[in-house]
Amino acid sequence: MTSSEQQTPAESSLNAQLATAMPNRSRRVIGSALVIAAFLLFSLTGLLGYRVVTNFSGVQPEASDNVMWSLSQVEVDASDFNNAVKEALLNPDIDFNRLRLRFDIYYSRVNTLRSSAHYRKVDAIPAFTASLNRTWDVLQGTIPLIDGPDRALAAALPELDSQGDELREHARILSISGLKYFVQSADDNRAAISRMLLQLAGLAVLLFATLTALAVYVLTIYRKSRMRGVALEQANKRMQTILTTSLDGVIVTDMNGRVLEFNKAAERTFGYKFSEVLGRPIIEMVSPDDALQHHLSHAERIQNRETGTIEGKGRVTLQAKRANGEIFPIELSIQRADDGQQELFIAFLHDISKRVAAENELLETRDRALAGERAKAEFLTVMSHEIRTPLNGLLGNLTLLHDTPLSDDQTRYVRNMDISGRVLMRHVDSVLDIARFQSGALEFDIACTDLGLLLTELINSQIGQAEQQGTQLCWNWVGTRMEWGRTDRAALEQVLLNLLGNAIKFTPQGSVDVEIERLPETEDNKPVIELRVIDTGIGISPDDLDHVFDDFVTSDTSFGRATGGTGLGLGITRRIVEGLGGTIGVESTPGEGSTFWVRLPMEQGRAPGTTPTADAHRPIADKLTVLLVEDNDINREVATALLRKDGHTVVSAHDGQTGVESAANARFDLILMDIAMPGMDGLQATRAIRCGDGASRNVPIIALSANILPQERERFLAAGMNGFLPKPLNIDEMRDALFNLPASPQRTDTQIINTAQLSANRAGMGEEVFQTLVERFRSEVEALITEVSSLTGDSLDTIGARLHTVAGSAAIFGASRLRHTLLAAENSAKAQDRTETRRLLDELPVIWNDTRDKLTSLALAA
Amino acid sequence: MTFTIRIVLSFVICLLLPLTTANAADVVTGEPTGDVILTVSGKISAKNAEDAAQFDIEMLRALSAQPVSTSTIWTEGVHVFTGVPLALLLDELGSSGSTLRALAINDYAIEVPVADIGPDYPILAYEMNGKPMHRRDKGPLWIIYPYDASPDFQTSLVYSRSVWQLDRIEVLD
Repeated sequence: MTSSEQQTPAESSLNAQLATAMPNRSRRVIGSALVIAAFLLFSLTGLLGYRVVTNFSGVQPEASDNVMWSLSQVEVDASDFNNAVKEALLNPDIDFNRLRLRFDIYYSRVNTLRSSAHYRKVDAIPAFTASLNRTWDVLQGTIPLIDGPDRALAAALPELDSQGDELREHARILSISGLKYFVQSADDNRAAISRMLLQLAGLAVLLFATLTALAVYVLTIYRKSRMRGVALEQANKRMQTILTTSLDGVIVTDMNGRVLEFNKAAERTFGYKFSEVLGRPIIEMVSPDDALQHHLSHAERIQNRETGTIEGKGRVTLQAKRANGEIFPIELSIQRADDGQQELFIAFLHDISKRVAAENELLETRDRALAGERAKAEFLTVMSHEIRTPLNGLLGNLTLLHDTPLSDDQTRYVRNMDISGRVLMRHVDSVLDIARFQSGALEFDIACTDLGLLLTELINSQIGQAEQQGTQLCWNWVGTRMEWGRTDRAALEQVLLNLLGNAIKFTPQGSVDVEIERLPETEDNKPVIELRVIDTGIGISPDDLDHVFDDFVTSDTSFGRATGGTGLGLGITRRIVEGLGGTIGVESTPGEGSTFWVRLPMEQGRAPGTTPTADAHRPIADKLTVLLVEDNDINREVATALLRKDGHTVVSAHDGQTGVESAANARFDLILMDIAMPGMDGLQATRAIRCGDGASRNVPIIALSANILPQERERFLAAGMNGFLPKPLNIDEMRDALFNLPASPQRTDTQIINTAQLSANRAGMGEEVFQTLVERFRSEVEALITEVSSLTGDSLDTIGARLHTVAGSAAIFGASRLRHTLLAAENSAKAQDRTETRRLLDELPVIWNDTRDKLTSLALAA
Repeated sequence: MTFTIRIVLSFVICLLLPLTTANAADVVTGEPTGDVILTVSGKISAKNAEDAAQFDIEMLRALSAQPVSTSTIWTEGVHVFTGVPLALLLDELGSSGSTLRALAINDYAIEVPVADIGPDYPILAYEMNGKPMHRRDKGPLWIIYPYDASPDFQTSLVYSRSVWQLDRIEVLD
């Protein structure tokens, strides 16, 4: 007992209950046993007491008194009879009736002694029995005399008298032995009573002991329950203290959501007093009106132990209502518990309105910042577009001007203007790059690159600039060479150009060294190449070192002004390096020089079999009829001039609406469509042409746009355009685009087979193989046509891959028209445009007929 | 309690008896023709001798008899005793005393308060098992209580009042 008491304070009240639960049973057994023993003892004592009392009070049938009386009377009766006999002897004339009466009395008495069961007990004394029998025999013998005539009786008197002494002696024996017996029996009785009293006393002692034990037991139980009560009270107090001081609101309810506990924090949070909510349904009180039904039905689901409720799911965020009607957010967790009598719900909660407000503020700030960033990027894009358009006009006109007869001076001015224009264009491009990087659209074209060649060409291109400054320029490998690396050559060039340009700019009359080294470490199993641009220039102050790679930073305002620059160069450089997975950094001592380093992980590349030589002369497309839709007069003029120079026929339209009308009236081979136009823009116009039934509804449309962001191109294609040309128009890009124009079914005969491609491939594979392949191509296409002739519904969407394979074969034989139609069908299949797919597939048999005829005649012609 | 009820009951019966039985005068006006076996003296109104009422066996038999089946401490086994209820006899005699003194032929005497006498006990038995009782067998008259009927009749007091060989009754104040 003591041990469990000592443990109690150390354990929780719950554990304490468990600890005392075990001895309870045995204690209850002891208690019951004590009660039963006390009851038994009490009954025994009562019984014994009753027996003693009845023994004393004589309630019990008692005949012994009377028996003793009768015994004592025997002697009297015998004496009386003897006296009557003597009297009759002395007086012969006496009436014998008196003698007879005395005999009868005497006889009756003795008979009683013989016949009564109560006298039989005295038979145990032999003298008694002998005397009684003797007396009885004498009396029996006397009866005939007594009943006989008086004379006979008178004669027998002396004999009777002689018997008298003996009878009296026997009577005395009877009397004395009876007395003896009853004295003995009284003694026995007394002994029995004293035994009973002794037993009674013993029982009383036992009863007392039992009652004492019972009292001790009850006292123990009382003490124990008091101690438990005290411990429970302490536990309750502790619990109350915890509840009161808890910063979280704690609400305890019964299964029906009626409040049992509501701590101080909950009072503060909701503005209700405990007394106000006690026993009331809490959900109705603290739920916002619009969420009440939802909360009630959710509570019902928790009650029914359905899954997917917030019970036991940790903290959830909810809206709640204060006493004053204010709606605020809380964080809540609900647990089910059992207090031993009923199931409870315990809710822990706290007001998170401040946190939510802070979060919202942070979100707003972030959104504002992001919106600002987007606006900036948008602004840059728009500005660059707005600058590029007129610049485009300028440069285009300069190109045209250059081809006109000019004096030497004029030619020089034109070239200078052209250079300045292109520098300006580069700046604009830089800004556009920033916008592009900001939008996350960085795409690299990773290919095997000759690092040495790249550096040589780079240095050569900058030597002129360096010499003007009196700066020496050289590069060298450090350590083991790695001639070929897989990287984006253009991007790396731009990076180095920026660094080199800066170094030269800030190192007048000094030297700039470029070192390239393969570092011993690797990154993702790729060798790391470090490029260092080391100058002996003016250096960078430590304050500026940290943000030389930030956007719009120039080292020194005055110097920056003197040297020029947008301050975007290093920002762009950093972005490119990071985009390539590398790092960039700088070390510098003002007045002594700077070292910019770039570390790029790049796989080791392998030298291709043949080094690509300078671009071959670009092929010029066949003479085409082109519809040019462009709102800007200068741009329209430049584009027209460029197209005409290559022999194409140009019809121009100055806005979208006019363009759509022209496309409807005549069939062109190609439409060049400006995107940004007032009124109907290029995309709208394209949709109008594609959806209409004009003559040019199926001809290729190429977008002209200064906006070259990738997602924009997606929009162009989605609107039904087939290609894209960036502005300002570049003659080479334009020629490429026109030459690789997507096929159109209504193209002229010459485009069914691209004979140049065919003959090139034919020569490559040899005549025998060629003929075999032609046969295979034929059966392949004819199988396809049979296969797709009856396709409808879903299967039209899945035919794309099949079409693509055949299109690949068509490319080998220069079957351009067939190929383009197949690819167009593939595209529409992918776009799930079933009408268009069906339409294109229906054209296949006619095209194939033409292709096959042409192919056959060409194949035979060889 | 029982005792009180008995008393009340005896009074009621005492009041009713004169209406239902032969009147006392009939019994006692006659002279005993046989041997006198009982002489009642003292405070009685009906007498047939000088200051007493004397009965022979026939006169007693003339009164309504009551059988009592019981064992006794003086005999063996259960016997049927027949006799006159004492209360009835006293009533016939117009007894006005409060105590009786019963005497046996050997001059054994015992006092019995009238209040202790029930309407049907004791009886003055003159027959045991249908036969007259001889003087040698505690006859001819024996005051018998229904001993077996209740422990109340198994006390020393009742035994002492069970006078056998009864021949006289004195009605005292």
